[in-house]
Amino acid sequence: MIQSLTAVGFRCFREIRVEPLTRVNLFVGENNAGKTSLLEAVELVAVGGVEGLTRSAMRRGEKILVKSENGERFKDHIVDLAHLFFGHDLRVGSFEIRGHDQPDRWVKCKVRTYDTETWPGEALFFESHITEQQNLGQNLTLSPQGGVIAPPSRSLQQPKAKVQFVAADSIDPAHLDQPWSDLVLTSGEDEVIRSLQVIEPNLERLAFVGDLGGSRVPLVRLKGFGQRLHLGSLGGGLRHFLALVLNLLSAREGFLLVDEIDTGLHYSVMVDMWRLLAESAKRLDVQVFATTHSLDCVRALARLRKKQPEIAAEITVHRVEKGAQRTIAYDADEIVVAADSHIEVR
Amino acid sequence: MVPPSEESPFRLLVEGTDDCHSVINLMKQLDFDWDDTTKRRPFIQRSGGIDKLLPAVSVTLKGTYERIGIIVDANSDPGARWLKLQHRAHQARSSCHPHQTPTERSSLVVVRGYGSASG
Repeated sequence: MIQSLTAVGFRCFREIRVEPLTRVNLFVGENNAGKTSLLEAVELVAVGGVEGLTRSAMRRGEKILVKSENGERFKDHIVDLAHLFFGHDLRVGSFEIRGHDQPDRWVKCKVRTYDTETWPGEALFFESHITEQQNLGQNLTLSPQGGVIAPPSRSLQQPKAKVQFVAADSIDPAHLDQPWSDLVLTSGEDEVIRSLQVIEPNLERLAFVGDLGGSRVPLVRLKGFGQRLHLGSLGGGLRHFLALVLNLLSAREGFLLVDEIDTGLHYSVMVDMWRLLAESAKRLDVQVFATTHSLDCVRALARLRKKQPEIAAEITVHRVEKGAQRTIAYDADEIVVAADSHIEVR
Repeated sequence: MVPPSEESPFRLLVEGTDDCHSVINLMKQLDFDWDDTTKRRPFIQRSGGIDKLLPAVSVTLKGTYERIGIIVDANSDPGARWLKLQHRAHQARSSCHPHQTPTERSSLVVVRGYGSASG
């Protein structure tokens, strides 16, 4: 488990330190403060390698724009890693991320210029030291526009490292098929159904059904309702919750990263969501990092701490402030004090 | 009177309802118009006693408030209370970066019947 994290020159951070990190960590703060960037910093030191380096840029759609006679177009397979660097310019700096773990994890990256026959010109020099793997120096070829060729998308969908990222706006139900298939006919299947009943108590079964075109869509059966229904017809909250639960179960002994964890969820289910997340994270040895803007989401943590203090003991809220070199951490008891005294922590 | 919003950047921590009324009446005596909703009025947080106020001190100081005031009674061992407040302020300060220390903001602590300090 990562105990603390420092990032220097990474995305919007000139320098930032986050501590203490606990089992479940919730990042709050204004827009553009860097909450999602912190998730990406954790992702980078958790995944490591070229895959870790390119994952967030791929997800954000940060691709190279190439000019031609027919106008400008994005090159799908070349990612623009300049945005990983503070100031969006990879040629003026370097970045380094360290996660204090046992052993420590770190990633360093900067552009180097070579003048040799084997490597004339610029390259992105990349080093990483992750628990399971070491990469003591690798040069990545830079395109003339400063892009790097992304690894095949298959490796992004099925990473070796158990690091699952649930983005706020891009949950494609088709991507949930594989993690669901991994759980079918196991106790995990029942666990997913029980979890979804937090949102829809009448939900009895879930299945991914294929059509002749090869695509598979999630269908559900509700108690007392004859027809099977498309999951999407039951609202975005249920789809988000399914993504949350499946990715949590897939992240055993790894990391779960969730951007805007409250997406589509009514305040009344948030205590149950935190209970589920905190209990499962401990049982599965998953470290969870999430972001939110929602006060309801933070106050639900306080209610959980009051109702079941032992479950919420390992939860920390971190406020991220623009330009600050440290986040402000609130432990579980301070979250309760803040809720009781109407103190703003976001 | 429309009470000040919880979202006010100014916040005053007091022990109980009596303190709250005392402050409002004192400020009225000093020509502060509590009914003027266009003014930045402090949200007054009644903690329900010193034991609940003290934990709220460090959590409030870690927040983003522009100005924070704290009023505590000096009815029993004010020196010890002062030390406890100092301890809570130190707790909050140690969790912030030097550029974000609570002392950058205006803060005033009054121990009723004992003295006051600002920083």
